[in-house]
Amino acid sequence: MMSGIDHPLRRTRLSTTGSLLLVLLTLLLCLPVQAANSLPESTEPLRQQLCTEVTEELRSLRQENARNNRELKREIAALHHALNRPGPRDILAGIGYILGLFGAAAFVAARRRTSSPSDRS
Amino acid sequence: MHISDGVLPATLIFSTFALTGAGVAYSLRKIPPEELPKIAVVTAAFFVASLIHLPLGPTSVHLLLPGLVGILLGPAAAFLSITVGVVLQSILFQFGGLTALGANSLMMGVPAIACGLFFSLFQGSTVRSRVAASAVAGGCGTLLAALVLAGWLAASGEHFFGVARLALVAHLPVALIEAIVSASTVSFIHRVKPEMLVWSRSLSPAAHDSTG
Repeated sequence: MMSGIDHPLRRTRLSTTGSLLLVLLTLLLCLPVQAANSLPESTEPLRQQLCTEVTEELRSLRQENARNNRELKREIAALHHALNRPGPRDILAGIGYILGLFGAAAFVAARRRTSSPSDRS
Repeated sequence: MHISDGVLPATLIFSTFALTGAGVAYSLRKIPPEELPKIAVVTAAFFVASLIHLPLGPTSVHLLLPGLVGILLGPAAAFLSITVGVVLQSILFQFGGLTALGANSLMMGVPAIACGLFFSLFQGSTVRSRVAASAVAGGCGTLLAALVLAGWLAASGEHFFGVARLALVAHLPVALIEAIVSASTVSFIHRVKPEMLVWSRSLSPAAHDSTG
């Protein structure tokens, strides 16, 4: 399962685990006969160590991502809230509507009063 | 304090709309034309008041002002004013659903009418009596609105006393603030334009006929 990610990841993590790897590689190069026999046994713990390290790294990354996602979601919700809140334009529009409606009503009332003959007398 | 869409049952929606329509029709017949500018200004104040959020502990509350509208306009004009304000708040601010417009209008309008009547009965003519009456009317207007809200929610299946207690407790600080706002407004008006507070005379049939 790890062979696909193992190789490039091992290369990228060479800087951090570089010293350990270098020691092991030189040991392998210097003792070719022994290495031929002991290769599966010697790489198996290293492989496992790398595996646990990588999974550890992945887990911490996932946790960090989850935290960031939650933060972003909270921010988006706050933005939604702020967007839905009426701004000064809505307020002015409403006041304008009210004054316009009552102005029209006053106009109609005034017209009715001046045009009806019973009121004029 | 607004009811959203889909909360109320259909029968309540229709009956509240019918009642609101009747109230508006009655208001329109009762209002003398020369009162219209004053009604417009008070309506605009009511419309904007709900946007003024006052920080209160972890949450914030906003003014409702049904009491002050009733005090300043009197029962008949107050209902029209409240309805216009609620309709525009619903359209422009998405406060409350469109289907709940009738219920929301009644929720604010009925306390406004009650407060207007209360103030006209108990205002007296001195500053002190007027300020006291307006403080009581302003505070009770909000609490009455909370009670009407509990009534609507009870009609839609909630338990009345639980909702009522919750709404009353949540609106106690608002009621206190509104009492102060109403009292200071009325004391100011009493000093600068006391005739503005006696709407009952301009709304009485005799005055209406003489001006009309």
